[in-house]
Amino acid sequence: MKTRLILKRMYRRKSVAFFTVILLIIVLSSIAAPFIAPNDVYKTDLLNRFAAPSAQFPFGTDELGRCIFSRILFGGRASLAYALIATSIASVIGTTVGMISGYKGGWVDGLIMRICDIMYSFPHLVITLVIVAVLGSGIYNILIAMLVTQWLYYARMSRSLTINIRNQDFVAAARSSGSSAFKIIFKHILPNIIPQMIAITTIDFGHTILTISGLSFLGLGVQPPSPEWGALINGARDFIYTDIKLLLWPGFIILLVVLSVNVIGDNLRDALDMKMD
Amino acid sequence: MGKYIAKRLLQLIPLLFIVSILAFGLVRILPGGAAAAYLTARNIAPTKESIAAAEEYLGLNQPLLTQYLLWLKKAASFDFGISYATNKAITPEIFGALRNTMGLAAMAVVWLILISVPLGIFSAKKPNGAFDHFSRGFAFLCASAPSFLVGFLFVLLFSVKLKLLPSFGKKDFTSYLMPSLTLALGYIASYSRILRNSLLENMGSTNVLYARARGLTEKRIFRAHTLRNSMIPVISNFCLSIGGMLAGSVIVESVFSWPGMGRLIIGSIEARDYPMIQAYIVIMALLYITVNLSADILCAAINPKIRYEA
Repeated sequence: MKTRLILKRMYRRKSVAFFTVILLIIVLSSIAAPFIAPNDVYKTDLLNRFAAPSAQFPFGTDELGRCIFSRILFGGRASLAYALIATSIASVIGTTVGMISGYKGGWVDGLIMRICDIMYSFPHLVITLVIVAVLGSGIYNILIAMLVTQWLYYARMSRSLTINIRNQDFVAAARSSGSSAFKIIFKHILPNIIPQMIAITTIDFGHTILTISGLSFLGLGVQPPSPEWGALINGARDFIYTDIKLLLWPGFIILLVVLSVNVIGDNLRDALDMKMD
Repeated sequence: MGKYIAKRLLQLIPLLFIVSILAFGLVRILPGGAAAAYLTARNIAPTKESIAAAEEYLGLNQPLLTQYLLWLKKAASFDFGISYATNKAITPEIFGALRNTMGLAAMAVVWLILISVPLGIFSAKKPNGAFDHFSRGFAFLCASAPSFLVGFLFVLLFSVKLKLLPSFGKKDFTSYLMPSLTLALGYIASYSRILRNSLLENMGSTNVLYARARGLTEKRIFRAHTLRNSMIPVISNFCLSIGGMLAGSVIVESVFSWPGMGRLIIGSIEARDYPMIQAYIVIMALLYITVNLSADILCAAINPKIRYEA
């Protein structure tokens, strides 16, 4: 019942439904990429470079005659999957740590908050770049770097949400009836902070797509010729004067996805009456 | 106020210690070690003898503590040694890059004020009106657009089509315009909304009601009361993001081939130029800490609430 109410409030604006459909289309077609991609993503055809859109190549071809449409479909698989992995692991770890920290208090809380303070003393991108500098470039190192920086954000959020409800009657009742801390955290606190954490995760998902594709654009993430949205743009940068569509298509798709995610996340946040810092 | 500043300065000591350990330890935890990285950058095959010679040369065979203290002593006077990649002194190179990045960030702040303040004010004049809707949409678009896309679109429009601005590098003042606007856009989006929301909140506050009861003109009330109080969250948020802006310029610098810190670090990562990376960590950390500290002091100065709570 509560979920339905939240969804109803979230979809008050028509634009939210519109962007949900857009996001669904892009996500589903990325998942189904092997079945709907018209061409092999690695197959080059030097006689058919920079071709205009046609029935066989819906978005045309790139500098090696590869199908841009198919590369975007498969690129979406990579970009979306990596962003999903990074955000969901960071969210699960951060939420759990934050709940323990907020519920238990004491030295556990103190330690976690000190780590947060130190990490927040530096720009996230600097920490990410330094981790990549040590481990070397590559998508897995980027995912590690994203995890290291992002889980704290979730921990801080779930900690403050937990502190807000820690002293409410239903938690006190559970405690006085002898429930263990573990049971209270996962059975009583978690269900109450989950909608807010989903909203935060949604908004962060958009940021993560931008960061991962940005790092791939810099040549630190997914390496060519593997298709990934940021890597596609990196490959296209030498040809912006020759053929701009190589850059426009992946750029436009990233924009659409992130915009949709942001609109959905923002309206979910509004529906939950959340005040953000 | 003095007590607050002293407390904040004291908190810096452990932070600086951690930064120095991290920057120094970086070279120690490298896969393959610093000597191998040095040899690779020099195009020398890493054999047993050459690695031993490089370790001797770089001082890596001394005890760890001695190495750390030696490094710290030099770093404290901003001497970061010689770059593995170019064989030149690091300090002048990194400070040159820092100046360029700071110039870019400063220009981005100008854009930020020029665009987001009017956007925020006009949206708040008629909440949920046509302009407010437009500015909300604009904010979403700016926040969602990858800066590499925006940057290249600017290049296409202003350099290729209109031939007005240089497309890359740093030549004269006009070279600053596109990269700084690209850098500012994401921030413009959020600040215009923060200002709008804060204005709306303040318009309904009791001190505005009181000013109205005193018979002040609406114009005067807006300038002296509403706008002034609404700038507090904007300024405190803004201060927090200056550091992010300095670091976030890495993509913009790559798009516009801007000779700043971002390009420097990407090049150093590719060349495994570890002394340069160490210098980058130290400089960025110092910069960020200084900016944050001044920001916090500034915020405490305009908002007494922070002084007393901290």
